[in-house]
Amino acid sequence: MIDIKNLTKIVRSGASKLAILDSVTLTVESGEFLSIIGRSGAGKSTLLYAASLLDPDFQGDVYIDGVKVSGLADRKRVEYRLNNLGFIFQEYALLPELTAVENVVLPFLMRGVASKNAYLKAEEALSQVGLEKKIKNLPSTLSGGEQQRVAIARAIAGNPKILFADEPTANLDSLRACEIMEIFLRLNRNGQTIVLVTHEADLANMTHRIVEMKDGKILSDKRIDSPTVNLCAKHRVL
Amino acid sequence: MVFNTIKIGFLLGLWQLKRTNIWTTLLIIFVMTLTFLNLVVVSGILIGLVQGSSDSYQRQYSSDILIKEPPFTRYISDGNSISAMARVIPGVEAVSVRYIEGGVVQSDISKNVKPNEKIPQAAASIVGIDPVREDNVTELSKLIVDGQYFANSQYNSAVIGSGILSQYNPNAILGETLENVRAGSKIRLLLNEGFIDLKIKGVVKSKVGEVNRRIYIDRDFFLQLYERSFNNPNEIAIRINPEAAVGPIKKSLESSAGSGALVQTGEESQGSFLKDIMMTFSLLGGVIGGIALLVSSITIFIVIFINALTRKKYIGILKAIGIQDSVIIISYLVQALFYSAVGIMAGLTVLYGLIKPYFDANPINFPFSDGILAVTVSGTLLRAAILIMATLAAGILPTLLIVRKNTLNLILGRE
Repeated sequence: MIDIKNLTKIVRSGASKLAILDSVTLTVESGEFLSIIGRSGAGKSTLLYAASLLDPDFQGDVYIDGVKVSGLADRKRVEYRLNNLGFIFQEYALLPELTAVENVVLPFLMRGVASKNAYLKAEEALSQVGLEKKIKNLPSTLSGGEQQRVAIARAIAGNPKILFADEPTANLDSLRACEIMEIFLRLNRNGQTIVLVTHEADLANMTHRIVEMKDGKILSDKRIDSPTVNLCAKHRVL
Repeated sequence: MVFNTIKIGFLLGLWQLKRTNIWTTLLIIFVMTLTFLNLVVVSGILIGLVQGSSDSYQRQYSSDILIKEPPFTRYISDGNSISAMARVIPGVEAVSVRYIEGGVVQSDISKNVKPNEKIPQAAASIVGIDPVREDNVTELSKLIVDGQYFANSQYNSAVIGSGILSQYNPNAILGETLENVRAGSKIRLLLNEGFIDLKIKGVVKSKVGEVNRRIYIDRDFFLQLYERSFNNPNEIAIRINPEAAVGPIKKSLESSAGSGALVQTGEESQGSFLKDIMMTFSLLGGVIGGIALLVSSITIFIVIFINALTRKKYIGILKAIGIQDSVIIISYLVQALFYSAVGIMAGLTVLYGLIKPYFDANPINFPFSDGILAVTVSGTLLRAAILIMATLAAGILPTLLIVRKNTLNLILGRE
């Protein structure tokens, strides 16, 4: 479970101050698939960066499974991310000189998994996202959708408590976007907590809960009783 | 934990090296090779300039041990027993006893000189030697550039140093050199009472002043001319086996000579002048080497800094996926180490495979010495180690500067 309490982030713009996040309080239950939507500049990505400890410069507290994780020192923060959190960026954020499997194996090695075993686990993660035949490809030889799938494999590699995804489908066509969402849904069915930032209502409707943000505040928070499940089938037909 | 950090840092560095543009890698290695050569060769030439002079001095004149008359005395006392003793000391390979007098020689002696015409003449050291023994010590015969070396008991014959002859010294002042003298010519040696004509058998050319301005004649002939005692030479040059230690042999000779002679190693006999110059050149070489080291450090700093700067986003990604700063720093150090190690290896290959053999075969022709490339394996390895340390230091700084920035800012390119 993730507990965000009174999260505020203020940036200076010349002499004036601007609240990008304004006392945001949010709780995400374990196993939940939550989407955050809102216009550009609403503060959704900022909220995600703060909650995932990528940006430590904010006021307020973040608790994960009851443990306060905001305010950790840099080294501890990196270690916490390694062992507990997964993050997927809009632009894939793969290391260009490393093959798909090398990109995925790094967090395993960092956790101290023996090399042979780490590679086996990385290959397994890649096969979960349907890339078992492209493990030795460099990112430059993969399509956008495939690159994002490598990024997902890397993020889920260590069975993180929470998977954060910042507009992961923004650079993909509808079919590829749907495929990525299908992967998320499958992961969520297996108990993975996912927090997704998106500006696409269709995709948000596939999740269990939609939080809408505006001007750094939560505008609405609603549960979806019957999420869309056959969106990809429609795209495949098209 | 530490081992794992090093292992992953090493792996990450290796992956990046493997897939970096080959031309960029080659260019950096080329710069490192030049830096290493700059570090070794420039100081090597500077020191080699004096080292060459010192080597020639020992090879052609003093040999390993030189016994001379003590200060304020004219001769060595009891030279016979010193030289006899020297010949039986284990490790001694050859001994040459030299008798020296100052003299004036004249050329153009067959010409009819007009009353007011000045006869070309020059001052020189007249040295009486056993030609065979001298050759065993200093290989004097190898320095002959005109004519031939002389044999024992060749009276009225001489081998003359090229420093006394005008054709080898075009800039010499009138009166310092003899004109039109070559092998086969005759010169006149002025004595206290009268003179004697000597036939030039050969001309020796050396950059060692002590050899170049001497006229060598047969020892017995010399003793006869100057009425000198066989027992009172001026110099005894001793060549020892390269395996033998100079120290103990010098000590034995000192105890045998007592206060009647001054026993010095070849190095000691050079006096402080050459040593001072060598020290100055070493210092100069050190300064130039230091500048080269600074340049190389700045080069590697720039290389690593630009590399890290252009990869800021990826450093951010690494941190975002849980890779510790220390791993990222090690990965860059591995790259810096690779560039310097390969650069040094290439430099060593060029140095010992090309430059050193070339300088050995073609010493630089300086007026006072044949400049060699003074590089030793230990000195070279020391410089290589210094370069590696400097590279590591220069590599760690830019990486530290970047890795410590905010992860998100690195990824989003905000800084």
